[in-house]
Amino acid sequence: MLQSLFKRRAPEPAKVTVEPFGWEFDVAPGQTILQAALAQGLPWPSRCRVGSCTTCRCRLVEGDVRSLTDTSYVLSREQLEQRYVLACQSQPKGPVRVHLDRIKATLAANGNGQPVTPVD
Amino acid sequence: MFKYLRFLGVYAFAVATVAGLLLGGAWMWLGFAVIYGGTILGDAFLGDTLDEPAYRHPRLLNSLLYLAVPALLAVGVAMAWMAGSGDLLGLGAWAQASLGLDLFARREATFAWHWIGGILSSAVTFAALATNVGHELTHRTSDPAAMIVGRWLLAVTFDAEFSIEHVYGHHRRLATTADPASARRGESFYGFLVRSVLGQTRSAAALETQRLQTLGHGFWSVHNRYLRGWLMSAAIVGAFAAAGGISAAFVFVLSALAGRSVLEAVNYFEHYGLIREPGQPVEPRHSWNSNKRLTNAVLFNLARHSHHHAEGDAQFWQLRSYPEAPTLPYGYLTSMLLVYLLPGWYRNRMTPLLLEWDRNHASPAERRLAAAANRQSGVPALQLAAQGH
Repeated sequence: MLQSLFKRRAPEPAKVTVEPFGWEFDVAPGQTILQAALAQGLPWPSRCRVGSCTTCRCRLVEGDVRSLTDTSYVLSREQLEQRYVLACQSQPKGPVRVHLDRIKATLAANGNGQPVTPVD
Repeated sequence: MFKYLRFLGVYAFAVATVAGLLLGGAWMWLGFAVIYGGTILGDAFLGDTLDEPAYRHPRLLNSLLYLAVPALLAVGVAMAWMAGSGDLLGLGAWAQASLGLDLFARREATFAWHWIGGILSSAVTFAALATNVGHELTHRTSDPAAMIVGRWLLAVTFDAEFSIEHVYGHHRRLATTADPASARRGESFYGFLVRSVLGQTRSAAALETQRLQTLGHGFWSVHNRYLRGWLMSAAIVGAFAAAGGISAAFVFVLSALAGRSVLEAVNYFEHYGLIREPGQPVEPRHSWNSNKRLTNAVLFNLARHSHHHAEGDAQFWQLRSYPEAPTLPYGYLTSMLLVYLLPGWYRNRMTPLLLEWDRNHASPAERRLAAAANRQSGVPALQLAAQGH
């Protein structure tokens, strides 16, 4: 009885799909999208990692995330309306599909404008 | 078990302060003496710990944090009882009957100058329990209960806006000239105190205004967390006035203001003179760290500050020691007392540590910025070092 009160739902990893690259990876419970992406070695653009600089922002296409900070302090109204989120502050609630700007990812990958090859 | 229980140490602050307030007279200094005496000696003799224990019961650790609320209520009741008249909550009758302690006589024998001790004891207790726990809780921006309790705790020292400025201002602008809460090289503590308090409230108002605009609300709106924060503080002052009259409200306001200055003393030495190139990531080298055993036990690991800034969403029990980070020469309460009483001496004490930071921690760009800061610091030894650059 008490046991069930304190027992949490068994947490499962959530699948993230990244447009337009076709990247797919799992985000473990408690992990952010950025942490999981960097752990995969993906060139996700990021800088401050505390939800301030907005370098890691991406657009939610499908699904929903839990945001660790209040992004209305750092994103514009247009960005919020277009469902931009900060990868470094986002924990997926179930499977999500996000869109990441291709040029920004390219710069993060090699700094010299070489296109990033999509992974299959 | 001790790895959990050590975080109860801070509640000795509240017990000593409550006992001192109620015993009255010269006993009003009891909290002050126990808190500073205990931590200064404790840090001197117990040394450092690099332990990073694993914890299996985060709920227990959380309940140790939330215990701050009843502890602060006890301080508030003792303060209002002693500063007021009558018998608030029947405390006097109860103490007489069950402890044989005549609080009415104690109150009669307490004069204005005794209250200096009572206010200073309460101030450091507020800083440790209200501000410090409020800081930990308001970093949990996605946890509504933590945010509500945390903001009320911060409102005790008139600083609910800290929940805005600290997370979205200070953590972002850390160790740059744009941050009001990062002390510059050569800056005196009392100058910093004024600049930091005014700068932070201005920054909090600006951040909140920007957010309200983004969400399509006006400044004069129920959604305004900056204004709501000031109303919360006003409500606390009002509660003291209701409980113990104007004198209780007066004593509380003085304690809260003194408590706020304790936060600024801590802000001062946590980042004094450290420099970051704007736009570059916040690294452990941008905070003065301390692994003093007692300081970290009584302040919920606040002194493991290098990790806190490098990873702002880590909970207090997850903070790592970073022994290679720039390290404060003393524990927190020792540093506080030095900053208050001997501000010039403290600056000189930090000068060789800053020069060492320039040599061994700074990036090349930071070294250039540091040379410019040294030239402007007004500190001869720093200016001399900048000449060779």
